[in-house]
Amino acid sequence: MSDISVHSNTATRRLIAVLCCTVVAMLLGVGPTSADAGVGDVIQQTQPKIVKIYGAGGFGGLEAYQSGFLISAEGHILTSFSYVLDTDYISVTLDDGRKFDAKLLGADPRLEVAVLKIEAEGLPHFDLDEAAEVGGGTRVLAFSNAFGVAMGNEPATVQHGVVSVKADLAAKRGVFDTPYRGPVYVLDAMTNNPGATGGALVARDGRCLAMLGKELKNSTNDTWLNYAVPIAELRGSVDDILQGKLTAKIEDREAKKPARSLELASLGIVLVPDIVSRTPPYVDEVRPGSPAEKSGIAADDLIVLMGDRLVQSCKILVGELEYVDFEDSIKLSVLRGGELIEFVLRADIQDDGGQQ
Amino acid sequence: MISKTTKTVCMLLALLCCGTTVADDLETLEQQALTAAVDEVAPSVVRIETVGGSERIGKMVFGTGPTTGLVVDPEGYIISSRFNFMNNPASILVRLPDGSRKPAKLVATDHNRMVVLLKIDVEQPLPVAPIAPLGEIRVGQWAIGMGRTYDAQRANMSVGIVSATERIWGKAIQTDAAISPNNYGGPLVDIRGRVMGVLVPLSPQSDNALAGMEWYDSGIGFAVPAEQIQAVLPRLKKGEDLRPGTVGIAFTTEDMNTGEPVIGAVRPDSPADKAGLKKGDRFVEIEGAEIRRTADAKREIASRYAGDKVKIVVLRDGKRVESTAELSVRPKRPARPAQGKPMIPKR
Repeated sequence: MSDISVHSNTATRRLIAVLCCTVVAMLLGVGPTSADAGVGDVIQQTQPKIVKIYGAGGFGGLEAYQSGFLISAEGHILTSFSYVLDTDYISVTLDDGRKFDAKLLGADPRLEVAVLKIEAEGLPHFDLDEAAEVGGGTRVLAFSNAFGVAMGNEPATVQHGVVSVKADLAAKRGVFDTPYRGPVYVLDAMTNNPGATGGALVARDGRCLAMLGKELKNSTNDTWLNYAVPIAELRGSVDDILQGKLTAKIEDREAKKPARSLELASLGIVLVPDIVSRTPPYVDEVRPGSPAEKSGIAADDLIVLMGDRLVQSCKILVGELEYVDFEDSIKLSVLRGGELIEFVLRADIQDDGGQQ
Repeated sequence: MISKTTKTVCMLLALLCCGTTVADDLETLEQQALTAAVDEVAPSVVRIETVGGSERIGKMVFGTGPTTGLVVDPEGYIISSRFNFMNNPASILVRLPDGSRKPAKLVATDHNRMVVLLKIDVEQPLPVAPIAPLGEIRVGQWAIGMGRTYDAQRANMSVGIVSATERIWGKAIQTDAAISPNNYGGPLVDIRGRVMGVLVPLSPQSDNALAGMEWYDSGIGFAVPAEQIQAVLPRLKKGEDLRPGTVGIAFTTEDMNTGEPVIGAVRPDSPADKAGLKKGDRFVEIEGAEIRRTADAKREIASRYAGDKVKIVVLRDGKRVESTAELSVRPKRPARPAQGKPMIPKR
């Protein structure tokens, strides 16, 4: 074997060794081509689609700005419906720093979504037809102008996190419940800050997932909530707005109340006096001969479930009964001696007939 | 003819050329591993619902829940955060991942690590997730906080890393994953689907069960190591409430990190007094652990419970003196009237 071939084999082995090390380094994510490069590209491609919106506010702790994102090349912008848009002078700043006056095309107050229009063409945008739906654990990027830190042509703020869970929104603003109670992506990053509402939640492959929501508190534990409304939920309203035929879809729960609601008295149940804000719904007394007595409910039972719904206090139980027709039967689960017992009962209609 | 070596080189070059794809695949695999870890533990993560209870604790509005618990025994024992029951609810219901609801009894409380043990009656053994040994937990590894508060059917998750081990006097693992009432009582899980600890609010400055709640979702969250919970589980199952232990001494210095561990005072009738410790003794060892600073002694005592017997070695007149002290409950501080105002006795 000649010296040349020996050197050649040695050189090849060295080359293979170097390549192997490089590939291993890549696999470990320490090389120049790590996962960051992919995310970096996605961020770069997404930034031109994010806009800064300026409008009403600027006093009393109300910011006069929010975020939005382009959904057409012709300047349609999806954003959150808020007081910021409650003015004739809405201004939009694109990623490249160009400023435009914007027109509010329409809004859906139930979903708190609005569509703006600026006079421009050939703009980079999200195609809502390509919007993706994801589940818990999906890694996501949130783009917004939170706290208004991005000025002029400065890019929007990017945050990373995961979808904590996709669940129905149970939130409040101050003491008022939010109008939208549908599915949202709950996020594990602190995304919902002042000015962030209307921003875009994007998958790590760049597809649009959702619109960042407002600053709300979780109504079950009084903690700040970070969430985004999936595009699938917004799509119908956005299409209606674009076609100029939006009808406000405000859910009116009052409408679901029956003409005559079921009352505990007609079941023969008397609860303990409701003296504190969360008085446990203990049965104080059961009227003789009543449906409650016939079914087996007894004094000192603690009512914990109505149907499948947890009733945590006397107030909640009474409130929930307002949505039950007086003719319908209900299932009450009570705790008695550490045991959960179910009862199905119905008001004695004949006895109550005269009250109609 | 192309040699095998050349083929290998070409394949590696091809791999290099599509480096981004490899990286993207890695990211996908990482995400899959995180969700797989959650799926592994989710059957042991239960939802806790309460009825009644106070609306406020101090100035804090106490939520109605739901909160989270972790099955630690197939026979229906569930660990949760003490925080979740601070409003003294009238009743507790546990909702299992299959949707069934069971009335629960609060068996015992660990006032040192701020966890409670619940018990439900079960017809079928409940699934218990595997535990990650404390010795295997490393700073920087993936950490997933899990709860079951937003949706009864699906566990919620937050992702971060282990920020520190042996926090709060050795009683907690610290994580930057989002930790809040949305997952207090749930597990902190590693990427292999093993439970590292149970999420609770904690603070090094206070032993109040609400302390640390102000840091929710801030990037500073804590979990009590699962291994430590397992160690006290038999006592909790017996209904024994566990309280922080004290030895009953004061050091000559208040500087925890640089101060010499020399006893400045011994409280009469305290465990230290009964064990024969004296003013001027210098701590050398507690239960075999070397004590060099007052913080070392504080760590060894604070992680233990009232009733625990600890072997203490001190240096007295240049000689090692061994003794055993049985830790006691911390005495309540006597109420002190505000300056210039008379103390009104309680009725």
